[in-house]
Amino acid sequence: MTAANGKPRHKGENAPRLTRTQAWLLRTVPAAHREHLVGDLLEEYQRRGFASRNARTKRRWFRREIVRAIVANLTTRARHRLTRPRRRRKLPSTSNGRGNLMESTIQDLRLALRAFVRNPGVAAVIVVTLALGIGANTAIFSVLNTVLLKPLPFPELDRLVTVWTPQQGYTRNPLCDADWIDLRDGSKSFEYWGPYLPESFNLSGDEVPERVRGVSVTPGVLRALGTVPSQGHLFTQSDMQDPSRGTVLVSERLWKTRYASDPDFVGRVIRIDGAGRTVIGILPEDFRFPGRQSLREPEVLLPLYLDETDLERGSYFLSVLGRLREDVPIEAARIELGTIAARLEEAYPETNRDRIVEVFRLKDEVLGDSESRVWTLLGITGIVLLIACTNVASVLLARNAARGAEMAVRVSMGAGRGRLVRQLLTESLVFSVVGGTAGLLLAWWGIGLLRGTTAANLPRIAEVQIDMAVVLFTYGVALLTGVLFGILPALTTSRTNLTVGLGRQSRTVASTRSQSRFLGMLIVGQFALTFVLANAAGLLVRSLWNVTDSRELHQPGKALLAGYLTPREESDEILTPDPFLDRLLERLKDMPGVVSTGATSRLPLLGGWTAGVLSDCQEYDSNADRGYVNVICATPGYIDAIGMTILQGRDLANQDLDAGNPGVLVNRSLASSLWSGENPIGRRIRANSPSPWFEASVVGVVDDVKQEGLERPVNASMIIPFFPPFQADRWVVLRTEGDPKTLVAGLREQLALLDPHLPLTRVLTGTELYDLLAEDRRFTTRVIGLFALVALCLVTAGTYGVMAFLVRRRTHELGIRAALGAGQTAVMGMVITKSLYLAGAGILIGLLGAFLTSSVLGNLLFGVSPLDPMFLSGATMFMLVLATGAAAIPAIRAVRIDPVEVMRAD
Amino acid sequence: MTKRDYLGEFEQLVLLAVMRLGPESYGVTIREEIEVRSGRDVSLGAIYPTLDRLEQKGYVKSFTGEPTGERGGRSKRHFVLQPPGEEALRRSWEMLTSLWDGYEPEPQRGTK
Repeated sequence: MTAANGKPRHKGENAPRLTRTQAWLLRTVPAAHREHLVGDLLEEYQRRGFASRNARTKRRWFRREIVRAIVANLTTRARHRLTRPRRRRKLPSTSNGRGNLMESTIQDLRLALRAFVRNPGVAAVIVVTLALGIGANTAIFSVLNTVLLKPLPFPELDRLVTVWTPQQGYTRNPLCDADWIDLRDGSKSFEYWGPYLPESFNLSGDEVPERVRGVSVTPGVLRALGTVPSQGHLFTQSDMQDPSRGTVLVSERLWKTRYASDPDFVGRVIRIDGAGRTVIGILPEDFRFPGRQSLREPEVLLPLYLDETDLERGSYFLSVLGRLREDVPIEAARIELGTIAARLEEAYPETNRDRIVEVFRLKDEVLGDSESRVWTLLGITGIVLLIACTNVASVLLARNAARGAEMAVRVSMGAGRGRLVRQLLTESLVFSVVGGTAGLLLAWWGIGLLRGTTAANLPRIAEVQIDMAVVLFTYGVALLTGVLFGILPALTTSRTNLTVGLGRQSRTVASTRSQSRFLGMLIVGQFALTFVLANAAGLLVRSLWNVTDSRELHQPGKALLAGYLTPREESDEILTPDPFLDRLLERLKDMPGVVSTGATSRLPLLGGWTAGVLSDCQEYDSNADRGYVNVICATPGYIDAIGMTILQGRDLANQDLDAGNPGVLVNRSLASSLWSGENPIGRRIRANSPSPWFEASVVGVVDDVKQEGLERPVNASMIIPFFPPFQADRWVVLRTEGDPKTLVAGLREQLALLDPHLPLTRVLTGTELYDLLAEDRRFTTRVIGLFALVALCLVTAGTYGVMAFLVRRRTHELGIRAALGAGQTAVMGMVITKSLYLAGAGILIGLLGAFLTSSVLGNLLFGVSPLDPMFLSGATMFMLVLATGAAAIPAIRAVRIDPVEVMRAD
Repeated sequence: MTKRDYLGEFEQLVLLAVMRLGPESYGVTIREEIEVRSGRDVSLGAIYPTLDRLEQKGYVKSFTGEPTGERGGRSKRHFVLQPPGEEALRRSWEMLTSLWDGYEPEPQRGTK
């Protein structure tokens, strides 16, 4: 071979060049003729009558030929390999498998591959089934791997804790500043700790204003988290003491994107909420801030300024996290803070009655219930995999039953049973590895979808990926399933009866009674598992329907909701109007297409602040437990714009803004709890406090609308026409004639005319608000529904396969029956009854499974019981219909058996 | 079980093409010959492994030719029929003719 050297440079001007992929793919062609093959193709390319045609046709021809050559080469060589001359191969059954394990394993593998190629239909069914089962598990495991197994990015996580004061069913209730100072001064458990406040800020200046997420923190918080800035330094005590010294820490991402990685960024002044702040440092790229069931990626950190000369007991807003000292266990910290809380309760009974302080592990805070949710999902995919396994096992059993003759020949040539089991197991392992690889691809695709969704509500969901652990898991699962679905078929098949195997019956099917019993058991198992899944999926769909159906707002699709934040002002005055908002609404009112306008501090479903109130017939009593109501700030017109209904009285009006005698709205729940059965209009309502911060008259009653979320009950609420300074959120609501989204540009324009530095935080329609809140549930429902669907497909295919097998096995018997005069209905009935009998047994076990899993499932449901008889009976009916359907074709085939042919075959 | 090896159908086609082409036989011409004579559009990817196999059996021999510009500077691989190859072809022919003996293949419908 002298070709390689002294190649003349190729001169053809328009000769195609091999692309990288082509060159790479051509590596499958043996080096000995790769060169010649490509040369031939190039020559033909030059020669063929292409000269007149355009270059694209030519190139397409060339591309196609390359692919064809690669494929033909692979298939031809594969065929040659399989039909290699006999003398080079020993019959696998002759080796005893002891001395030459390696050789016999290679033999097994070759046989397995040949079985694979020879029966591509069955092989495809098995691989697809396994891919679905394994792929689902891989996808969910990769979530588990990232969300639960990868350590959170904080050193010595075990020592990190959060501190809350549980109240009224909310375990994670923030602290008030006065209590925090007392706790801080009294506790010795913490190495570092401090309060923080997750917020968002308006970033303006050089570019378009932007709304960024941030956290106001004290230095203790960052020290506790172990944060090391990549540039500059962290906050110091002096940043905390003087609010006029505005400083800020900026995320790496923000520095790179908005400030183009300015090398002199530290020391620069940027505008946040309208005020200049000096950048003192840049946070590292992997900096995350713990959030509830999430890891936040704040763009800016600001110093949290607490004025220790003006502390207040009773206003709860501070979150606290800290790092315990090395020698202090969490229980000791609990006891210590509990003692301080008890002392505070004694000292300030007015505000601190029953106010306890609780310490939680930060890890539990960040993971929340994701742990149980991910495990539930993995459990469900586990069920799908089990179904897949039983399915494949039954396919293999049915197929192996037809191989009685082959096994008998092997045994007669001296193969031991162990040798046969090993060969059959190798076959199933080959299937499982191929299926696992396909599953990995499927999971890779599925993870792409998972990452794209924000609905999963799992921390770090965006970081989910396929890494080494996931790959190992997949192949581990694949091998395990290979053994699981392979061992029983292998054991039963290898128990070959020589006379039966080699005798006459080998022409048809050799199977034993135990085999068909075992197949039946597998089908029963599949029905049981599928029943549990189908029931769960049905209940989840019903729950989703329950959650999303009750739209209390009138035509939410016609409402445009746009949020922004007002700059915070330090003021204790609560009954303050918002003149900026009034000016904005005045402008928006006249936009074409707008029917009505209004604004609020908190949209329905998004929560809000709470306060205690008293009616005119209640007296203040520090010992009475009066409960809290939602307080919603709104402008006149809001009720109409958002689509709420006034039941009694009138909407808020400008005259209600008189701080001396304000007017408020109450919802139906509040009206009935304060003045049950009486007319609430004109009644007085005031704050539940010895010196009430407000006292107002009720001017109207609105219908109940959920305020705390789609899946929480309606709260008593009160709507006031004022916007206290601590309520920075504003939502402008426009009710429109046509598509609300067409008004977004106009809205932005009007806002920019009033304040060019004010960004909109979010714009959405009323319908989108509902969708957004149901997203999480919809996601879970879809995932579980999808798995249930896969299970249904598998169980149908499995039942069909087994029934078809049983009919084939009983051809003889059925033929004789037909000859003896059995009617068509009788024969069909026999087959279908058998299938229904299996399904029925499966359903009974499935019912038991439904009872056992009801507590887990109950957590995921809304407004429906996990053991709802309607759904249980529905799933039962469904399974029975499915069993009948799957048996229909085999039954028809059974009817068509010709007795004459059966007799002749004997 | 070392019985006489019979040529597969495709092997026969390739071997016949090599025989007919004589010294001019290499990838492009072999493929052309098969296409022109049998009307089958075969891929080079299938031809090369088959020739490899025939070479292993000693039916053909190959040598590398000169590289040309037309071929992007890549060389040709020429194939030459060997006596065992001729023998195998003859055996195939004999087997077929003896099996056809006494029968006339029906003329293909629709040909001229």
